[in-house]
Amino acid sequence: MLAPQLITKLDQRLAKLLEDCSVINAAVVTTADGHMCAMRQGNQDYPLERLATMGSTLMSLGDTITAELKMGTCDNIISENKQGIVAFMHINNNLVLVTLTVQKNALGMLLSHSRRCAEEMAQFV
Amino acid sequence: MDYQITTRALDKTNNVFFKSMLQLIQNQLTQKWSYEESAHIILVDLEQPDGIEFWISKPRDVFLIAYARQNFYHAEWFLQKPLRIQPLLQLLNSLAMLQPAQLLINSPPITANQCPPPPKPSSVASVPAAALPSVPSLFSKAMSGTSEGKNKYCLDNKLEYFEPSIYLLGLLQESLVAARPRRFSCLGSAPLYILPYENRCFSAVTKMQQLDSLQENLYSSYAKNIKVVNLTPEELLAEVQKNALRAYPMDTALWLATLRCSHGRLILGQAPDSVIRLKYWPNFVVLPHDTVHVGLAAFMLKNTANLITIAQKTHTTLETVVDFFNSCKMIELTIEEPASESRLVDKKIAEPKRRTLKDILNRLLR
Amino acid sequence: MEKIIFTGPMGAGKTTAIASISEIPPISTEVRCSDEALARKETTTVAMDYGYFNLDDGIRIHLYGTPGQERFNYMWNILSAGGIGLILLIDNANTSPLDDMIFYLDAFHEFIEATGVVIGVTRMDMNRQLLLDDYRNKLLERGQIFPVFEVDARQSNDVKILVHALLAILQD
Repeated sequence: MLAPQLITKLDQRLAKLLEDCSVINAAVVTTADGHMCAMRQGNQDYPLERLATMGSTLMSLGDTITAELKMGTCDNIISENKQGIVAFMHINNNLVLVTLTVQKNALGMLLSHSRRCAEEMAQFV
Repeated sequence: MDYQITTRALDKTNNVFFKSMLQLIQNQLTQKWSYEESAHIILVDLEQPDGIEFWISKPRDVFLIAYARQNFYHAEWFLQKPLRIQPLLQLLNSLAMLQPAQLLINSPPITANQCPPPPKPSSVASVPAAALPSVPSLFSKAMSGTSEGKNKYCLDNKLEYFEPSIYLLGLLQESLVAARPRRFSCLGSAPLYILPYENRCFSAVTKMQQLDSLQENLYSSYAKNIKVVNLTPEELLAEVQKNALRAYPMDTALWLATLRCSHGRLILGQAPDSVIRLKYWPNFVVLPHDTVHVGLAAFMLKNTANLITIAQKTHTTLETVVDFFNSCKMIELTIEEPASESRLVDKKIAEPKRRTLKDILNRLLR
Repeated sequence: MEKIIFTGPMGAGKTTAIASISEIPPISTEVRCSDEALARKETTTVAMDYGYFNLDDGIRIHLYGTPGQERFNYMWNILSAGGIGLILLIDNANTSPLDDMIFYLDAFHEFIEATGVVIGVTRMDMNRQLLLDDYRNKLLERGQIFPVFEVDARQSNDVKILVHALLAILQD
């Protein structure tokens, strides 16, 4: 598991992500094997622990698919839904960032803020 | 061409009967056959210790025909007991179609009672036993469904029962009761070591599932042909270590010794009309088995029935069911119920599904 | 689509068992363990393992392995839907393998009711405290008689015996 200091830093960065981009309703950092490291959400009550585990599953499937198709590494997986969007992306080999928005037209914002967040996290983990 | 034939280990009655029958069928044979005290072609009774010993020793320059109720030595040439005209006729006429070299006609004759010289494959015939006429089995009467035969097989004649004490199985049982570590060996087979208090046995055989015919000898032999040596546990374990022997559960040896010797005969003391089910699944990973045994296990766990019903419902020969039952009983997997407890569960599987399952099995077994 | 499901706790040998009978190198979603499980196993399956073999008539039999840990249980239903039966592998060297067995039998209860299950106990050589009889007795306490075998998931023959027994119970 990650060191407590590191978890604190991840948590702070998630808080900043939600501040910087108001369309993001929740964000989670999970290990590649499905343990939640940090989470933030607005007023909603999403089952983020479950989302963390599913995030690891989906990211792993994404990696498996891209490897099978010889398409390099899987950058992110987007789930566009009737009531929102969920994005999954690697922070590094061991960590995954999952973010979500309930606004169906905010895919660009969700992806760009999440990507920047993931890259910054990769710097300090 | 004139052919001579002799017999080995047939009892007096059988021998007289054989000679008379040979005379009787003479005018129906394509070649002249005569019985001689000494001949290259030998009919060997594989239900007699002498006959088995002779067979296992693989004597040179003779042509052997197995004579037994079942072809459990997988002999290429086999005559099924009891002696009957048609099978004998077809056997001799088939033999007469072989090349003389295949029958070793030009070699000097051997007396069947001579002590045979050491190994050389005995099988020189080119026509498999399967090509010979199939003779109804001992149990076919019972399977035919006559009210008299339905549950009445191998009842009256003690010889029709499987008597463990005259085989390796009896030796194993006795050793377990006496709690004696022992080594059992038989000509050509890897010895079997047993360590009763650990409930384990040891053998150089790496895959009990795939014993060759030589290794099978030990498990199908009569007790009198098996050399038994008492060992201390230390001596036994030293031999295990020295020869890098593989450990098996004791059940493996008991199971194998039963399966290879029972030859479709119900184990002595077992009522033939008992209603039976299995307590547990046999651990097939360590119990050598055929495909059919897995199906039997599945059926006997779900259903409680007598052996004939089991054979009928699983489309398996009664001999196979009896052998499987004996083996399960030997490792205490069976439960006997009163006849009133007989219970058959309906199968509810659709035909296409059954076909797919069968195809999967065939693919796996390839 | 015909598929056989392999399940059981982490480290019981699901991935290995599939590999031993699959015609292709199995597709695996293994990632590095980040928790105390790392002490027992370097990687773990987080989505599924997948392999297959083909029948002569071209029908493909799919082999799916579930993730072992309970937190991935959403995958269990997804993967087992439409399966023809379950092969449950239990690691005898785990802390409480009998509890593991019960846990998975309960978790897959409905699927087992509708199809069938065969239990393979692995790593028996690592722990002689529990014997097959203990597993059978535990099942009997629950009124269940399922095939239980001691297996080495690396041995294709052992895995074939599991599948064979599964097919046998499905036919009867």
